[in-house]
Amino acid sequence: MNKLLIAGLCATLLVAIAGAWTFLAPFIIRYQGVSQTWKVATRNDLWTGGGLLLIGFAIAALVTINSIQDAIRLSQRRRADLAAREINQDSGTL
Amino acid sequence: MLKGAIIRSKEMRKYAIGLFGSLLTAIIGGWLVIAPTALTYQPAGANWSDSTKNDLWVGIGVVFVSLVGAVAYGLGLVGQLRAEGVLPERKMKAEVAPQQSQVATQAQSPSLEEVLAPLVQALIEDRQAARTRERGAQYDREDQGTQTYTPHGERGEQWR
Repeated sequence: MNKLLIAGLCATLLVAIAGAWTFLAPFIIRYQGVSQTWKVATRNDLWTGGGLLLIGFAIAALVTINSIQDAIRLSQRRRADLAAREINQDSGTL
Repeated sequence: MLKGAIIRSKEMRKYAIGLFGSLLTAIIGGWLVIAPTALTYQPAGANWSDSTKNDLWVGIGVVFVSLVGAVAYGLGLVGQLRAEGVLPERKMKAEVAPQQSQVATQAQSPSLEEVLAPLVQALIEDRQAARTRERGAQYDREDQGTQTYTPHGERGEQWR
């Protein structure tokens, strides 16, 4: 994983955390009473925060999975190259 | 060839996902900034409520962080495209700079050959003139030493 990918992943995780905060903010800051009907601001924060949380984690998960798959593919290619080189060396010595 | 293209697209996929996702979250952050006014839960002229302040600051933060992430993913995507040969390689500044400075100095000052050419020409002409003078003086000495003129105009040679 290169530095740019790590930076992007950190930014995505920060966005997900901001989404979680937006989701919980009406109850933490207490501009929404628990027993009251939900205000417009509360509903907006819940939907927007939930969306940010979901999208942030989905992006982070997809990027991580793809990076792991790329790493596996790269290691397989290297292994195949090494095996081919060993076969060439063996045929050269014979 | 198709397999190679699929492998390439797989290696670029993570950057593309990150880029589009970051742009999407930036748009959502922008919505958070304008939501209090758009949904009118913040009346104009009234003091800002806690929800408005929270949405505004969180929205600004989300936009900023998302754009940073988008730039990071975008640069990664461009780098990957360059590595795959889809985009042309960027020339390094260190490689370009000396060539440009060399061209600039060539354009500003004449080359060494141009400066030395008149000097060398003058030197050659001077040397030729000196040789001619030497030869003339030599002939004069030979004439004075070896030739005598008779009063009648007859020319006779006399050995020393």
